[in-house]
Amino acid sequence: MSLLELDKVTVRFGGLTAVEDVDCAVREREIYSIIGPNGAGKTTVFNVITGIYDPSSGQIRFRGRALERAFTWKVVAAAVAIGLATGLAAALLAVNVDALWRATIKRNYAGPGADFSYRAAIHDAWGYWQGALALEPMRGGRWAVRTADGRQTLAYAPSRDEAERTRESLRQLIDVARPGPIRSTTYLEERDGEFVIRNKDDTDDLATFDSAEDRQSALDRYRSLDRAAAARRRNAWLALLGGMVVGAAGTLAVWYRARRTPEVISLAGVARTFQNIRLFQNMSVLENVLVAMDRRLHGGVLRMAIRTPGIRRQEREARAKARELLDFVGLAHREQHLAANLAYGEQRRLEIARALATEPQVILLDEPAAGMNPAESSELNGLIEQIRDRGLAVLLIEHHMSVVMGISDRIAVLEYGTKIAEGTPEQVRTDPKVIAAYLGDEEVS
Amino acid sequence: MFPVLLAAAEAPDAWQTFLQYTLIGLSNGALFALVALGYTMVYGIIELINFAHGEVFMLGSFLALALIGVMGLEEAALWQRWLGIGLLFVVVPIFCGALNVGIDLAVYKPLRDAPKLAPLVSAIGVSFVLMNVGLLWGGAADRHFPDLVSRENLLGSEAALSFTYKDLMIVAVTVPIMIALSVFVKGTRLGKAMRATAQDPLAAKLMGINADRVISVTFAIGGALAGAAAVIYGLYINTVSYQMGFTNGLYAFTAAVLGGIGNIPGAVLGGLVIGLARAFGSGYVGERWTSALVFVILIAILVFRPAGLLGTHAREKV
Repeated sequence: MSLLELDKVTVRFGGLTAVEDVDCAVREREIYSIIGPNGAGKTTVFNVITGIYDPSSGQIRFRGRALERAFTWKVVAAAVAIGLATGLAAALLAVNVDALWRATIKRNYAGPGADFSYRAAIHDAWGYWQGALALEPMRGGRWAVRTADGRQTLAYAPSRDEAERTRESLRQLIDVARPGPIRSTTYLEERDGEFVIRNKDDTDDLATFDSAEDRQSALDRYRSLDRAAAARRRNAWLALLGGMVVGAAGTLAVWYRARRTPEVISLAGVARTFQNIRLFQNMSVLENVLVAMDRRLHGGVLRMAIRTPGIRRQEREARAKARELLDFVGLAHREQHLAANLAYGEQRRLEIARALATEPQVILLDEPAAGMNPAESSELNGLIEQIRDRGLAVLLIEHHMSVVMGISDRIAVLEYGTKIAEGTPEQVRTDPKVIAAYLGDEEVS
Repeated sequence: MFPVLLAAAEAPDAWQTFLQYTLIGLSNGALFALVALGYTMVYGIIELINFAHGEVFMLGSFLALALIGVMGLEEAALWQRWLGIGLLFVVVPIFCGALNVGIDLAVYKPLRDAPKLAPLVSAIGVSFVLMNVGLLWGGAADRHFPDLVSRENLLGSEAALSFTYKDLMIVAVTVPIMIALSVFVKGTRLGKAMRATAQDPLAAKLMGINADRVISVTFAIGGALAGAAAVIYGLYINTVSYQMGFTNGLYAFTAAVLGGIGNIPGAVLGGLVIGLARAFGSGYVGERWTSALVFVILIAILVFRPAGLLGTHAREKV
């Protein structure tokens, strides 16, 4: 089975197609090279494998499966939590957060130092939801009876007790005015030329009017208050539902977009180096390697802070392994130097050591011999073969034909983003299409 | 504003005055440095100027004030008082750290891949939200912060130079924190991961570093430092208000830029430079000129060292 498999991978940037329908399969313990003229899309292939780009179409499989973050209960939990939060926020907006604030906090809280009762606030929030009427003190000791959102004033009263009574009768009026099969007519009476609204139990007059029109317009007004509260409740439910759906869907969408990240792919066992060296320049050689091991080590922040014996042993082992890797690439004597102070060839080898520290199964080397002299590059050949002998597959981009032809098991040739040839060094070397790509058509024809 | 305490004895000679200003400048500067570290660490790792940082500092001081009330520290015996202050230095940093992490997760994280301006503007928004939370919590007026630490001069009440228990407290808290921070960043695994992420986020991710955790830890540490600074500020200045986050945040941010934003020793240096500039400014030039002086120094330094005192020019990544 192939270890790393590209299946019709295409990468487009806007209208430009950098890589088109590239197939290739790297087997275990194989050195597989990708060559091609500048701009053929080689580095793009590396970038798409390591998750810097996503393929526009096609599949990349590692050991037969896509390199993606697993869908776990944590994702579901996050989607639910964010959905709930968004839903609640939307519902708050729908019920008019400012009016709710006024109904629950402002009426119950006079300012810093004043008493504040959470129970009263919660009670008033419920009242707001129900469309209850609120009492608000006015200047001069008078009281106003207002709708819960404070927008409409229904009556004034000279004292709190009086206001409570007014509110109670208004509440009953609204109750009577609420449209329904019987209520809307049963409690209306005409008596001695006065138009009366009786209470629900038919025991008392709630209000009297001079004309039927006045009474009707009052009833309409109370009815509209009731409707407004009902509409607010309906909108709130809709907003809650809509917000939850949008929030949860948005979370899932964000997760979906980010499920294929460099970090996930690195953890799965794919490591790489860069064409233009990207070491952590201000860290020592040893630290560069240790950093790459970080994810393979365990322990929470707290255990690291108090440095438990387990953590210390683990760090000791990591250090030993890092030294072994530095020794492997021939940088053991440089471990305390700053990465930035290494010679060019040494930096390249440090990048390889750092990549190996992530414990990969396949390592992607992007022009490791760039800028090396012949002696260094033949040394590099040996190193790449040793990497293979450690049990890794090597995917190599290289311009130095001495490197490519000397060590590759198989070679793929890219031109203008498409694969034009694949095979052993011997097959590729004699392929007329490859020669044409490198030397130009005219020479061949 | 950050009132500079001028407690120098009467008519000292010029040298003593100078020393006194230096002392004040250094202790105030250490405080700025603590807040500046939060700006610089976050910037270093995600290139975001976290404008909400000053507000986290402000809310920390309000929490400290509330806790002092709850524990009744003003009437407590001396040992209880010290124990209580010790507790403040634990609880408030934890609160501020958690708050900072929460802000990051809720606001900045969804914008991680957005253009840099998006999280920046969001940070300004968060700053306003938190400032209003502070307004609601503490009211619009300046609040008195109990004077729990003695103003007694450690050098003796007759000495010309003044170095009080309060100054000692600043030194005793900030210096160990800074040492611990540098040990953490230099020596620990997480610190290494942090430096790696700051230097090259993409390469760090490709090496399997959990960038999200690194960022969370950075916000937690930055917030905790602001929390410690908030407690010190309250105990030292004895006045807190909902606006203190903005003004002090501005100075701390200036300190971070001055030292080279993203650079941890730079933030400390920048904080000290600003503390000294303020102390000398109010001592030799006049209180009302200090802000102008600080920003003139900032401009002058940035003209000659655009990346800040210890900053290095960011190489363009290809």
